[in-house]
Amino acid sequence: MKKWKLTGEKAVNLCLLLVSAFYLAYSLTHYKVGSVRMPKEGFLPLIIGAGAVCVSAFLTVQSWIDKGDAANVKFEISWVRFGLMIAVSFAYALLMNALGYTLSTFLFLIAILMLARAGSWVKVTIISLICSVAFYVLFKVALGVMLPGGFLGF
Amino acid sequence: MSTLSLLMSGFAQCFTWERMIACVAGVLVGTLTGVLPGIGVTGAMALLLPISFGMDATTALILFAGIYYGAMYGGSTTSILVNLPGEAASVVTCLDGNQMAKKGRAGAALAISAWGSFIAGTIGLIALTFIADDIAGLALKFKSPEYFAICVLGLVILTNLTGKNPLKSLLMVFFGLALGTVGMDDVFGVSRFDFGNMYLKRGIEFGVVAMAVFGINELFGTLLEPQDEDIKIEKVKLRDLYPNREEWKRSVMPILRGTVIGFLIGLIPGPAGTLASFSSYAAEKKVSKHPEEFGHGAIEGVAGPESANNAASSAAFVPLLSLGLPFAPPSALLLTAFITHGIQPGPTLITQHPDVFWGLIASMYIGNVFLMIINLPMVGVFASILKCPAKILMPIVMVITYTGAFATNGTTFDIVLLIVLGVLSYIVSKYGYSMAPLAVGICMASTLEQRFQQTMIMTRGDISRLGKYPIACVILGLAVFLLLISLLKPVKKVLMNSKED
Repeated sequence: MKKWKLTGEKAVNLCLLLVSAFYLAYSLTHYKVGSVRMPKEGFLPLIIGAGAVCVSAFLTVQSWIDKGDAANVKFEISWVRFGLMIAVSFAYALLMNALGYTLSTFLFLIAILMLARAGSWVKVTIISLICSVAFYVLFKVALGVMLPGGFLGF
Repeated sequence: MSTLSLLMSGFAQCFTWERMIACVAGVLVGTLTGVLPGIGVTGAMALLLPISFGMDATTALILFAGIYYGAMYGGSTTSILVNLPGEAASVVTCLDGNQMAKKGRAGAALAISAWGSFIAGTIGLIALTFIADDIAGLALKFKSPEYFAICVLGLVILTNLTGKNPLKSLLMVFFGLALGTVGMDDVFGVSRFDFGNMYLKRGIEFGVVAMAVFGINELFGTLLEPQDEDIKIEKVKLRDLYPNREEWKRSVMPILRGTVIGFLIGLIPGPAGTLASFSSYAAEKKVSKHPEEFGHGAIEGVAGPESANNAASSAAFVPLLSLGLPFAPPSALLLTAFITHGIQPGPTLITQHPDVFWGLIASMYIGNVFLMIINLPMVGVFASILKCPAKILMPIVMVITYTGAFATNGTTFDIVLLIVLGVLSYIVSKYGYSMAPLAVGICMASTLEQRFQQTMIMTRGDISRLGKYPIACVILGLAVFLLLISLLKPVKKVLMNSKED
């Protein structure tokens, strides 16, 4: 029964196998393979997909039959904080156009610095304010990068 | 025109304000990247890629080259002063460099490291100057079958030399190639794997992938995992920045040996700097009259590896400039920079864009000098940056990375892609999957497909006609042999274990 326990390594290998299989199936059903003499757009994806499926299937089987080389990996992290950091990052990306670069960066930095436990609200707010303005000046003014203005215009 | 006169013309091109500033900025950013954990050299180069769009090709490439070899130097600063390698290539410098610092010889270690890097980098550049031209001349005779074979061999060697499990590295190569097939392909004009998304139709930018797997990946690790808050930085005074006579005497041969070892290893695909530094350390320990000192502050343990990784970084330019093939993530990023500025590196680079080629080579000589002049006196400044808590520094680097991703195409889609790839690579890399093969794979996908298709046309799909190209046959045969060797061990292990069961 112990061998059939789903560990992190087994789950990762299985996911990679599923992704490889999806890639292979999609390429076979959507693109023309052609022939060795006249390969078409689906030929290289076929080779890549088949290769990935074979290798990932082997690694999956290996991790189920035997202890893989990553069997003892443990994540010493807070998954809640990890999830929140990802959510805050997505929010930053999605709100950048609406709020503008400077304001969205300011809010993102406050959120991420608090999640990183970088200090008190006052310290974090001051750092975020200085950095967001500095980045705007650096990227937009000094380097000429086009940044979204949002409703504030900057 | 002779090589020397062409090199002089390269120097003439470099001595403009814009290019000098780019060179200085590159080595400073590179050193900073090497000093700071959390964002690797490829991530830093990827960050600056969109910002370089406004520069001319030569200036942009000077900037990126400066970052690349500057990082090799920067990594040694933290290895020596803090026992914390900023770059993988500087891991071995911790062994003896930090021990020297604890004995009060931090200045000598830093100076030897700097001089070794300078001498090795310069010799490596001289070799590059003459070899690149010759290899380019040879490569002009190569046709698609040879190129295809070299691509395959390069990827196979990469899988053997990166990560702990060649099968996992091979899988990452396939995933990298798969990502490289997304979007409009150059050969057939068909948009693949876009799932109806207009952003995916233009393909996945290599810069975004590099920032994700080398930047965001590391940033999440630094922010989430327990870190050593109490970093002790050894103090160094400016007047202590020179070794004594005995230390110089013991360093000369390790520097020269390290240069040769590093340059030869740098020509091979894979993590050249890391391999070179470890190989040099092992070699020095073997030939040393005082092997018992290694691990306790042997100057040879600093001189050799630091020279080797700088020589390797020079050598890594040879396949890129001469063949147009990147065999390591930083080279892949440089290739992207070349293409972004409308230049195809390869055998015709020297003849079609001599200004770019010789300007780049000359800038590397100048950059090596700047590294010596600027970085040694500023070692205290760079080390003091480490006093800034990672909890504050990493979110700031995160914002810079997200901004760099946005600047690539001016869309927030690239930031979303960056986050997704960064999170996935963070999780997957914990289970022994190296990201370097993925990065090289995504860069080589287009070249591999084009060369394969041309090879099939030339041989009319008949494998036996490949015999007309003996070099390609030998190279492909070697690739197949190496692949079988790397597959044999894990397959044998699984079969033995299942028999026991």
